[in-house]
Amino acid sequence: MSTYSKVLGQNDLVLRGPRLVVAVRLPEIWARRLREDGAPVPVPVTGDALIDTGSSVSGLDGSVITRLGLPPVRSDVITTPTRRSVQLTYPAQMSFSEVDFPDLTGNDFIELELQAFGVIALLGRNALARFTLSYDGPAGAFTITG
Amino acid sequence: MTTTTRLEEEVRFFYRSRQELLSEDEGRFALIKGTQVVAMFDDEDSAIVEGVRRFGFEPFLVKQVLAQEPVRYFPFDLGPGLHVDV
Repeated sequence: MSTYSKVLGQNDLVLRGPRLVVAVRLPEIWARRLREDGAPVPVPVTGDALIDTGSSVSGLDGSVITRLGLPPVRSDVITTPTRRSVQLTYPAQMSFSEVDFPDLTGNDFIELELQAFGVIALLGRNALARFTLSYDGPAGAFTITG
Repeated sequence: MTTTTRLEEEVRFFYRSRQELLSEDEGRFALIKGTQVVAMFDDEDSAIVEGVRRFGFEPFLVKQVLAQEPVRYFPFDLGPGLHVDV
């Protein structure tokens, strides 16, 4: 088990939310296929991931999906405040740059537009299922263990 | 946004075929290419491994056969998604 703690200050934690630096890559099975075909494997995309306990699902910014050439493999029914829709989901492998958490690998990342938030990924409750998260609003700090 | 028309044929086919699939393969994972069920698997990863082996980066769908899909919530509105009735 590893633990990562960050003190942002109350205001920054309110405005920016709890974030982790991640590197997103093509999962190994797909990377191997590219190597077998003699094609280059895309370089991982690094950036912030926002922890979002309000979402069942996790997602990637569309630019990450494009840069890594992630192929959709699944579809899930997603309910938002105004509608229900069928969204494609993508495979991805995510490593954590600041802490020694095991890689997060899944086939169920939805495509999001996250650039305005300054993040490349959103970690929802499906990702948080393997972590313990402590959010300390008054201290402007959070701790995540997994 | 990247295209959402990829896999639309496979997703439509899945929902059209779901009742038939439920009769014999409820809970299992279907590997679907176009309008064909290529094979059924006991877990999602095995289905994806076989999909990559057969089709590489060509579109294919892996879908668990369930009478009722889990409801997943996202707190903001998303893009239009696929035009599929479920």
